[in-house]
Amino acid sequence: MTKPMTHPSEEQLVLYHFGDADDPVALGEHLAACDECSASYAAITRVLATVEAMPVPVRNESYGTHVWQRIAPRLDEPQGFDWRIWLQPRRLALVGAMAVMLIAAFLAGRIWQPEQQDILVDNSEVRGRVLAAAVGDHLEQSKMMLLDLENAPAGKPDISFERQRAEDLVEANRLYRMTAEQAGNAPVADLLEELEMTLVEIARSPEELNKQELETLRKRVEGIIFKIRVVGSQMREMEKQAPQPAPATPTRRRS
Amino acid sequence: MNWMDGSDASTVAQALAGDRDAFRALVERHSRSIFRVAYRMTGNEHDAEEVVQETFLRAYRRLDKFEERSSFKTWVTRIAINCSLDFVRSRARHHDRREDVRVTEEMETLDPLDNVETQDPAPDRLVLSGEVKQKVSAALTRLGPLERAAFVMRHLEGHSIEEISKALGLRTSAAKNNIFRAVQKLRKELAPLMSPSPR
Repeated sequence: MTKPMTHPSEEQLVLYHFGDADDPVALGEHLAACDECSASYAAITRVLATVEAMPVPVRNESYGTHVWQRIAPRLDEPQGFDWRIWLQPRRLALVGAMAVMLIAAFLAGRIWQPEQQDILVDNSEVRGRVLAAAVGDHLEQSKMMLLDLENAPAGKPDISFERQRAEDLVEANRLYRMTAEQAGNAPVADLLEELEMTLVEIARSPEELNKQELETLRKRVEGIIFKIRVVGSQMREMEKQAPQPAPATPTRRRS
Repeated sequence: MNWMDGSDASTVAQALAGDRDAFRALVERHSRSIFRVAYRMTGNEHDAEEVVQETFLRAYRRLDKFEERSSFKTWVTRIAINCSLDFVRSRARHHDRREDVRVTEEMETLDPLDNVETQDPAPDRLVLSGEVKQKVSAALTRLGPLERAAFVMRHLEGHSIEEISKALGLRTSAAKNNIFRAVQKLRKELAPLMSPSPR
C-alpha cells in the first residue's frame, strides 16, 4: 500500500480527533495506510480517553435548590448597603485604629526576642490572626464599594463618591499589603497588591465615565470582587481552623 | 407557576421581568451541569462550589445582556468558564499548595474500584487506578488556564471551536492552538502510564 509523502503533524492528528481538521478525508485515508501515524493517533486517543474517564463527583437533584439558597441572599447585595457611612469621621478613625493595632502587633513580634530558645510566644500566629481580622474588614469595605461601581447605572454615571472612597481605601490597603508581605502571607499580599492597583485606577478615573470606560472598569472590578470573595472565604476557614491562643501565657514551641 | 415545565427562553423572559422564582428555576435547572464544568476546570469540589455560586450571581446581574436567540445553557456555561479562569488564575498567583494536596486527597477517595486497570480506551468502560487519577489530575493542574479551559470545553463539554473562541475571547486559530498544546502536554506527562492496547 502506498503512503502519501508527508505525514500529518501531531497538531493535525489532534484536530482530526476533534473533527476540526482541514481535510479529514485525506487524513483518514492516510491513517488507514500508515502504521506509524496510526500508532501516534491511537496514543493520542488513549490519553484523551483516560482524561475523559476521570470521575466527576455527582450532585443530587436537590443541588440546584442548595445553590439557590446560598446565592439568594446575595442577589440584592449592592442595593442593601450604603458605603457612604464609611466616610463618616468615626468610621475613618476605626480604620486608623485597626492600622495602629496591626503595626503594634507586628512590631511586638519584631522587637521582643525571647531569652530562651525553646520558649517563645508564637508571634507569627498572633500577627496572622490580627491581620486576618483587620484585612477581612478592609476587604469587605472594598468589596462593597466595588459592587456599587459594578452596578453603576448605564449612561454617564457620576462615580465621584466611589473615587473618593477608593482614595480613602488606598492608604489602608497599602498598610495591610506591607504588613501581609512582612508576615509572609503571599496570597493576601498578592490580592492586596491587585486591589491597590484597582483602587488607584478608580481614584484617578474621571468623575463621569463614558460607556467604554465604565465597561473596562467593570470588567476589572468584577474579577477583583470574585478574588476578594475567594480569599475572604479562605481566610475565614483559616480563622476557624486556627488553634485558640492561651491568654497572655507564652506557649512552648511544638517539636 | 411551575417554572420547571417552561423553556429556558420563557423563563429568562420572566426573570428579566423581575420574577425571582423564574431565576430560581434556571438555577435549579442548570446547577448540576455548571458544577460539572466548574469541577473539571478547578479540579476540586470546594472550588467548584464557589464557582457555581459566582456563576449564577454574575448571570443574574447580566441577565439583560442575554440574547434570546442563544441557548441559556451555553451562555451560563461561558460565564462559568470565565469564573473558573478567574479562580484558577487567582489560585496560581497565590501558589496555594494546600489545594493540590486536597485534590490529591479527593482523588484518592473518589472511586471504590481503585486499582482496577484496563487498556480499553472507551471512556465509559475505563476505570482508572488511584495512581492514574492522581497523575491525570496533576497533569491537568499544570496546564495553563486558557489551555485547560479550551481543552475542557472542546474535549469534555463538546463545545465547537467557534463557541470556545467567543467564550475565551480568542481567535479560532488561538483556540485550536490552546487545545493542541493542552493535548500535547497531557500526552507528554501521561504517556509513561499508557501502554498500547493488545491487538
